Amino acid sequence: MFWGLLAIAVPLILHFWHQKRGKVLPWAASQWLSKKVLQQSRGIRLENLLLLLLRIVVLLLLVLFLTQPFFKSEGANDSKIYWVFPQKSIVENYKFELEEAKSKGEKLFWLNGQEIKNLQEVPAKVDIQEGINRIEEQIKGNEHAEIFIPNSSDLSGFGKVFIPVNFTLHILKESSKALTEDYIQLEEDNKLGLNKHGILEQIKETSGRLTHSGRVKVLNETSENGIEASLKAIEKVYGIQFETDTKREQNKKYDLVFVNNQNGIAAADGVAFVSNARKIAAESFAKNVIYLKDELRPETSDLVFSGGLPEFILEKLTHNLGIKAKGTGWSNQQIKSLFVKGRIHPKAENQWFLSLLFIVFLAVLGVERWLAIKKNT
Amino acid sequence: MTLASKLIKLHNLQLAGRLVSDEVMLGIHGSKRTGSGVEFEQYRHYSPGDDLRRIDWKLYARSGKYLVKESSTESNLSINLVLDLSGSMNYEENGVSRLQYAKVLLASLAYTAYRQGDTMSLYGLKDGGLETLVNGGKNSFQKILYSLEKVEASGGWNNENPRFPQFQTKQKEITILVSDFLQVNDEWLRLIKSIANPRRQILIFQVLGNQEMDFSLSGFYRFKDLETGSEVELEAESIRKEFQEASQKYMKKLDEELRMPNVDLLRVTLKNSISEAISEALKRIR
Repeated sequence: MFWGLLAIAVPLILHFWHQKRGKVLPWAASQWLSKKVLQQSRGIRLENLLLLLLRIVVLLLLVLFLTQPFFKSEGANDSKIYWVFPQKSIVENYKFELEEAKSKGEKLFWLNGQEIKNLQEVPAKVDIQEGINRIEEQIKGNEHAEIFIPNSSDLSGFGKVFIPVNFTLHILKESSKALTEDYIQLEEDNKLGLNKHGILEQIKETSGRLTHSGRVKVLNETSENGIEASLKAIEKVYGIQFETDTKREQNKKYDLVFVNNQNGIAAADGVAFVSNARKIAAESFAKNVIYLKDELRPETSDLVFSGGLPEFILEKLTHNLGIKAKGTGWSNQQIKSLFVKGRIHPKAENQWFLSLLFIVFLAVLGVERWLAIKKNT
Repeated sequence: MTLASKLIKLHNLQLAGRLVSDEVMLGIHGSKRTGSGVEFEQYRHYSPGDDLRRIDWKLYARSGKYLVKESSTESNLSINLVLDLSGSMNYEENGVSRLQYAKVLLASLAYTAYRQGDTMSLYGLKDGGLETLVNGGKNSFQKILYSLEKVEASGGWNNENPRFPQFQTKQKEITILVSDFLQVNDEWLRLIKSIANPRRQILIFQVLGNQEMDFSLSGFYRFKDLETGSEVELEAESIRKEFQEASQKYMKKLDEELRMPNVDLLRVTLKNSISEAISEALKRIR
């Protein structure tokens, strides 16, 4: 990213090229040599040095403006931000750290996006990604997140979580519980459930309950190809069959709904994805409704870009259909792999600095041009 | 046609001058005009119409023949050769320097004049003044050749008010100036105007290099002034047009300023043949 700084060599080389001595030619008719393009040939060219410096500064500013290294700084003095999974055991376990952070005035959030006012009031659990997306609007982007989560079954319901800042995970180990043996009946007597490692796959025999059978009914009101492709991928790998409508049919119960507007969700729907939900009303946190900040396109969504959409959809779907891992006993490594550093969106607070940089760049460029033109005339 | 570069390589001004002079005189019969003078030439028989006073009576006493004493006609034309010795004369192009060219040119003129029996003087213009190198008189031709071999050019020539006693003579004479006529502020024009005189014909050879005339250089050069030593670095292409315009303007101005009675300007380049230049000059001499 700083390779652009090599461009500084350009004015330097030009400067020395100009210093280069021409072939000496004894000359009598000096009076006819144009005075306009006269160049001093000896001594240190102070004015030229000034021009050289200006040109270097111009390039430096340009490179800084384009790379914006300030916003990616990972300095030690970055402020910390605490995200706590809303669970009593976590609050109790990390009480000391959290109390201290609170007394220091550092920002504490529940993972649903609410700011922590009282550590004793643990809110209801919600989607981590949604919470992080909500928090993202309140942070600058240079913080370091301390994330406190349990190693429990509740996490298996989440897909990959994209965190917009650098982070450290604090995982609270919980005693493992038994796996659920519930399953989904697929076609041709195949069953989809969790194996003994807690991983979803087609299983032969199970003692659990049947939670769903037959085709999964899908309503896709968005025109995103990514969703269609994701469903196909799920069908191919897990054998779940989908039945997709693009318009809502009355009195039909959909298991999976993709809409652009949260008004398009019916109460009877299973899991609903609302894409492009940039402004989420606080009261709209209904159960099984997932709000996606961006449209589901590779250009706009990290989830789609990294290919995590099918997995994300599947997790939500199976969770809703009743296959819930209980106390997965995942390794810390597995949990860590769930949390991914996402794209950084520079915040508006930095914009003034950028525009200042740009104005200074223009000003220096103007001075440089003015000097150069003045010198030549 | 003998090339200037070959003549210069001879390193012998006498021979070079003679070669050029021979070339100029080609086809001109060496018939001499005879008349009254100091130097004896020949006796001839008296023919009616001759001045009786010119009969050599002493010879008549001895031989009883009327013989008329004849001597070669003495030309009363006096020639001033003036050579510019400012630093710009050291300008060189294709191995031919302006000074060398001027020397051969002057030597050839001197040889031609010597054949005619004219009296010659040589002056050098150096450091704003006029140096007398050879004063007219006996053996002046040999002295002129000798002086020409020796002289060197350097420095500038700037004289606000040129007044030289050498040029205050009243007799009929021809002044031949060989110079590049590149002036800083009209010093050459002032000189010409100060010496111009109804009895004096002034012939100016302006010797220029081809680059000075049309400037066909290309590339990056450091132009070093021959007189002041100041250096200027320039891309030749970028100034070509302006240079050509400036030089043409200057030539035009010179032509106009020198449109005076008894003044002739002959512009030659270092590539021009010297004999042609002299033939051209001889046509202008009245």
